[in-house]
Amino acid sequence: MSFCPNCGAQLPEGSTFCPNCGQKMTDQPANPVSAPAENPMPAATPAPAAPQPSTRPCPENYLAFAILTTVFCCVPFGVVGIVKAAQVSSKYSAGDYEGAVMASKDAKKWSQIALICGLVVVLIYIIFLVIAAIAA
Amino acid sequence: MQKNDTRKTVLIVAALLAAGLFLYIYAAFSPESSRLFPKCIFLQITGVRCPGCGSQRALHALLNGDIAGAFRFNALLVSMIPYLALLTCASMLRTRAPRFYAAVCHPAIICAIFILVILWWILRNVFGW
Repeated sequence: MSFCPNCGAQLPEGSTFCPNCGQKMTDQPANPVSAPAENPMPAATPAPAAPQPSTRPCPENYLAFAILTTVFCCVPFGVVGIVKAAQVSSKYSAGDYEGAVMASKDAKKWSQIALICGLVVVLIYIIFLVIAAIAA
Repeated sequence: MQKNDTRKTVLIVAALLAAGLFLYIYAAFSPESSRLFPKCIFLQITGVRCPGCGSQRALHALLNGDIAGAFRFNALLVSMIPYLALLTCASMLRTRAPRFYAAVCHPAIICAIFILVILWWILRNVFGW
């Protein structure tokens, strides 16, 4: 059984890319890398040959992204990103790895929505400024 | 692989240039006196301040070394900077130091941040911060 080195999702035998995140398995396709393989954990951890859900690193929770969009984009979607980031961490510590990966995707999605809204507002503002300058 | 690396380098250089230009604009021009900066859309529509109101002025003050001024414009942003720095380090080392990442992103910490943001949002409108 192998796991994606990027997101930690379980991979079907002989996969050339991860069905969850799309990561290409270019490195050693015959011997897929398990998540904790390059992981200099203390000797107490179980052998990397038998990956346990708890030894896989927590999925990215995009918390910094969520906080920054909350503070800079003036739309409340960044707050949703913070809630989703909390779900990533709580599901991960509860052992629900797949749920954490799902929450990670949602966290990214909501912060991206907040960022796009912010950028659209800036764009409209710049167009407005240009029109006002031409009219004046 | 080579092609991917080149693309990555180009992307990183472009991102650094954009970030540099962005910081230069915010350092050189004051959002209070220049019309270059958009006003908060949430404030204009609802008349209520959002958690991020004042962050552009705060960023200008910070880039000019005025931490106290930045704190007056947006206390949340300034208070979050040390944690954001820690969080950025932790996410870059996520696969190499998963326990450090898990500690920095402990659910209790994120819940506390969520409560802090909501409290800040309410209190700043009550007290006019």
